[in-house]
Amino acid sequence: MNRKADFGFSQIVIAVLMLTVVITGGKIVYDLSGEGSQYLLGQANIKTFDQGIIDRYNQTSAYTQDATNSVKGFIYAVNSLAYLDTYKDNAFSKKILGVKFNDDKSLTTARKSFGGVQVEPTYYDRETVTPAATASVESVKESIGLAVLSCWFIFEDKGNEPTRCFALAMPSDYPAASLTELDGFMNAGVASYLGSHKLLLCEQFSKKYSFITQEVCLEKIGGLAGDGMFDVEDIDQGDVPANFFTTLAPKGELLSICADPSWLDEVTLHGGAEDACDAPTNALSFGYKVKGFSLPQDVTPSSSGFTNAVETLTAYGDPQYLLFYEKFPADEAQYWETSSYQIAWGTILAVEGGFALVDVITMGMGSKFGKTLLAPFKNPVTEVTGNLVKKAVSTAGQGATRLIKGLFSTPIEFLVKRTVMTEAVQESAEIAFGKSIRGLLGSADDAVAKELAEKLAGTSSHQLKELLEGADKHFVKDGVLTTEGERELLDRLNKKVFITHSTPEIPFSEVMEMPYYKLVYQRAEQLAKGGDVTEELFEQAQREASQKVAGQVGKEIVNEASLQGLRSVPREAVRVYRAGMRGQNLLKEILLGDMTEEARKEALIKVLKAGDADILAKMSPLELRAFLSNQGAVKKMLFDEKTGKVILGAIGKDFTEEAQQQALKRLDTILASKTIDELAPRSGIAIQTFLRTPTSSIGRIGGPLAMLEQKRHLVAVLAGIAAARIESMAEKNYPVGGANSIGLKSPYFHTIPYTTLMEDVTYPEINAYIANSPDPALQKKLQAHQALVEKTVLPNYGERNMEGLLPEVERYYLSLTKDQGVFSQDPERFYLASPCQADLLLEVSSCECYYTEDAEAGIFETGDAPKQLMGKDENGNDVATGKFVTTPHFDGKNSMLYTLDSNSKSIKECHSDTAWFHADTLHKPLCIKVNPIVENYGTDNYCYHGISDSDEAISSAITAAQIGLPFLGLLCGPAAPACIAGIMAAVGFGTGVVGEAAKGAIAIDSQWPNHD
Amino acid sequence: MKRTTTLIILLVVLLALLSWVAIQVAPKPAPTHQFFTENSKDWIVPAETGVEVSSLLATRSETRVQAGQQDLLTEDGGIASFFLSGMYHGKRFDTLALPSDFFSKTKGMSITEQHRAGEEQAAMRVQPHLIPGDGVPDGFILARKEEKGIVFYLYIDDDFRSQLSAVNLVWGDDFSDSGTLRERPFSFANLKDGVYVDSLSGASWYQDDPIKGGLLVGDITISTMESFEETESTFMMVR
Repeated sequence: MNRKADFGFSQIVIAVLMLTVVITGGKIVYDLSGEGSQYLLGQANIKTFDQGIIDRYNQTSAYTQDATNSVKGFIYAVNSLAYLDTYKDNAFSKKILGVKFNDDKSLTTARKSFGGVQVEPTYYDRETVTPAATASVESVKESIGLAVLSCWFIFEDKGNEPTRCFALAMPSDYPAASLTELDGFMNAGVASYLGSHKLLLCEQFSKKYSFITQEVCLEKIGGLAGDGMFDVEDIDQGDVPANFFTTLAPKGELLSICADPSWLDEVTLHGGAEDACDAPTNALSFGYKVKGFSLPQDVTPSSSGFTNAVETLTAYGDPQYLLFYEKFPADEAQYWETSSYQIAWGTILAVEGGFALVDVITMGMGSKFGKTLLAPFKNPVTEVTGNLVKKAVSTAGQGATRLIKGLFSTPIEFLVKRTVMTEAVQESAEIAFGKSIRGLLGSADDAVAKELAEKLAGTSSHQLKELLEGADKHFVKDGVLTTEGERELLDRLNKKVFITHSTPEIPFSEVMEMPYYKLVYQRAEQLAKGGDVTEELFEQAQREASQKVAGQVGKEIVNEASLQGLRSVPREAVRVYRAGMRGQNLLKEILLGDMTEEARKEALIKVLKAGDADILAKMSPLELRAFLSNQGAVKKMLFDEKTGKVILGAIGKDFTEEAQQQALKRLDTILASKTIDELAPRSGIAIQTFLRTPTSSIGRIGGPLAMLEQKRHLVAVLAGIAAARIESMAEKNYPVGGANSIGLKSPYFHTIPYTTLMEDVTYPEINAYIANSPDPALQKKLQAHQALVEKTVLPNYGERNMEGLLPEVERYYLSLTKDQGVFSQDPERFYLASPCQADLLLEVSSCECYYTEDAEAGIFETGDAPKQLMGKDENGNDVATGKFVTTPHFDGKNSMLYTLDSNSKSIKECHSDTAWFHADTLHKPLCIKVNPIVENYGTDNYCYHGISDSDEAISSAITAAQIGLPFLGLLCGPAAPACIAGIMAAVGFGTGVVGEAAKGAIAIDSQWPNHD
Repeated sequence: MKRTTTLIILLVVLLALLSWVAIQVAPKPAPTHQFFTENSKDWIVPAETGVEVSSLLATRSETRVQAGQQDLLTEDGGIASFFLSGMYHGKRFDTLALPSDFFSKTKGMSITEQHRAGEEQAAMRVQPHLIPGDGVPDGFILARKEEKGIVFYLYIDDDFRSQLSAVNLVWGDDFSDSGTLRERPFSFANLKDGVYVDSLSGASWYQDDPIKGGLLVGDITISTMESFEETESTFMMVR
């Protein structure tokens, strides 16, 4: 019977496996011979494909064009604003700012279009009067009259300075009949209205400005209305079209009210010209508006089968387009993860299970049950059993690190909620927690445990998380805190030192200690010098790297899994697996190393010649991104400039000398053509056309394909694409590539970086030049910069110049103003996500950036340049100095904070304040604030994650239930029979699970990436 | 006859020319203070509900106040920013001390509607719009450029006065070092439309970079800060 059963089972298993292999093989063959592959290999014309594919291709092309145009418009606005604000007084700025914007000819040049995106200057130094939609016509007339009158007073008080006073913005839903009436009022003349309504207006005026008497007001209004010498009216409204209110006002055009020092001293009215007032600008007055900005994404049921953003997010991963400054903000990334919309049952059960066990142990300590349970810990003979129990505790929490971190991050959050707990319960909690720690950590030192518990109870969960970053590395051995670890922990708590969450995963200094990396850098250096590296050296590097990587794997899985709440273990496993391939992949280091372009090309060709064309399959997402986006030459080698076809297949084993020469020539041609941003999207369109749809299986088979060790270029390319897909789905938090950069990210596209246009010129150098004290050696570079600026900032320039940011943008931090900006908002790093249709308002201001002064190195206060963060090691390689750099900002004020990103490149940082404002220091760096005026709320138009809010009362109630019962059991524990403690622990487990699940549901509900 | 006509025309042209020149070369009038009054009580103007502290009047339109931030134009054409916030019985807030479920309960509202609802539901407000007599403490701090440096004008309504046990000013260069701090009671001598105005000059914390100090106005003293008891306090702050 048994034999038969065994045989049958094996057969079934084999059959299933065979079926899987056959189906997968069939899929592979089918897909490799499919239209997508044909196109990618350059063997087919898109126009001959099915209409569905052609439609998708056309739609994707249109979307990409919209997104690219929007980004170009945005870059233009940022560059222009930064430049004009930096050099307000130089001749070039005056040339631009001095344009008389009410001149029709100059208006056409001041407004710049990028496809459907229009960029134009806008002004902030005037008050905008916005009548309500229900306001009567009479009250609107009154508002205009009072604004004109106020403007006249302002003009005189300013010593007849030309002034931009007010702008009237009519609500879009203002009744048409009333608008017609207002046109009649305007055509009859505002002066006439002032003359006939003197008393009424002056009564209103004096009511508001009580310090101006009616007599004075009447005198002024009389002058305006034409009561003075020769009965000349002092109001000029010649620029207001006769039908302004009925035609232009409903479209959002403004009625500007300005004071103009013409020879008759007038208040002038302009209708529809945004920049009509001929008044000087200053830092507070000038901004840019990017109208019609769009990052398109189709989330309608008809095309995607999904009806809302969350479903789309779950299906596709990251939004179609992500535009971000320097790096995607880590705090925001969570809202764009599919895991944010699922309850982590595994984590909840594991954590609560772990706690139930700890509760049982600690609650029963004073009881017979507890003594029995704890006996193995104290008896050397049963040490093994004790270890097993400890191991069980660890296992229950999915590993010791996880459990320790869980203990610190989860329950403490509840413990410190003093609002829901009495002091007695709190004290009990502290004692209990001390016991928990002692029991868990195997420490017999009551004083240490108590001290630890007290400190922890007074520390926020956020701080604890920060505090315990890297705890597994330094403090924990075999799943328990070492004595040294405990002391270290207490020291840190006492000093309130915590590591910033923006510290790179692996500190650069640590990375540099790895011999492998040193060797790689040496190799890169030798390659750069035209030398060679021995095979032994290469193999040694591989061996050492493998060991290091293997050591990292476990840590990374545990770290990441615990940080991600165990929900993304599979994803992390994929990532770590790919990271594990690093040891065999020298190419990345060659590509990322500091070497000449020529040497880089040579190195790449060497690798390709060696037949290692499946390098893409072995790349981690990070490496792939770096491979694709950071290296222009490599990028251009992968994709044909004109067609977007993958050209990697043209080079490989059969790479003859002649072919090499041709390839190099081709590279040179591509490099000279300067069409980076045109090239990249095109190839992306091709890839996306075939892989974007969820019904496509090419993306899904990419994973298995990547595992195959085939030396086929097709496989390499498809594996690379698959890796890109995985990266797109899961990873968005890779920085663009250092300070002063903007990246446009999209699935199947590499990140398009828009970095500093002239990296060899710094702002201080430019400033010195402008101050007429240039270093002669810099003149040539600086003249080139000036030429660049003229091409970039002047209204008439080529669109191709919008490939990056001016060095002057480095003076500013780019921040995002959200819906809550109206209530005040913590500083947010700029980013936008599709679908997004908005008008972007850009203005120069300061940002409110805090940091705690005694924070461990990781955030740097610096000015001159990010380079100041770096030093040289004994081999002359760049390393992070790990020291605070406290030199003042290069302009002597507005200091900025920097930190290192995960690529060890410095980027700007801006953090919100902490609860303890005593310890906070405030930096006020210059900012370019971007405020998206989002259209059509609630109709699949997101742009960014909006208001996240949950009902604190409900959360508190759940929290109370969640911890109250276990603590009740705890209090009863020593006095009650053992079974009570067990029951209470079980009840605690149950309420904990229910509470966590409820909290998860609330959190999901409040994480909707929409804003209302 | 012709000569006379020509002469008259010439005279007229000459007169016109002279008039034009006179107008062009006429000395530019000196700035005045008729509208941009120097009296801090005059900057309180009526609003639809309550009153508004007009930064336009106070700073000759050389400032921008929005969402808890005041940007002030400096002499060298740059920007000096001041950030406002508050603490309501130990709970930090920016401009409005809102109930915790405010945003979830006002979903679907326009920004304007939401802001109006926020003003109505707030337990305390720190913004230029003050509503005296509604039972909610209102306050605002306006930074103004004057000859002696930045002068801070402090506006609180009668609710602020009545609901707080005391109203003090605490300011200094470093909040973590009580030796650098000073304090004095708020002066209730100036009152207009239910709003009290006081001012503070001579502070220097705003000149530091980075800033470690600031100005607090409310139920707070240096000793409460030393003992970290401000977590139960109510005050507004500018940094």
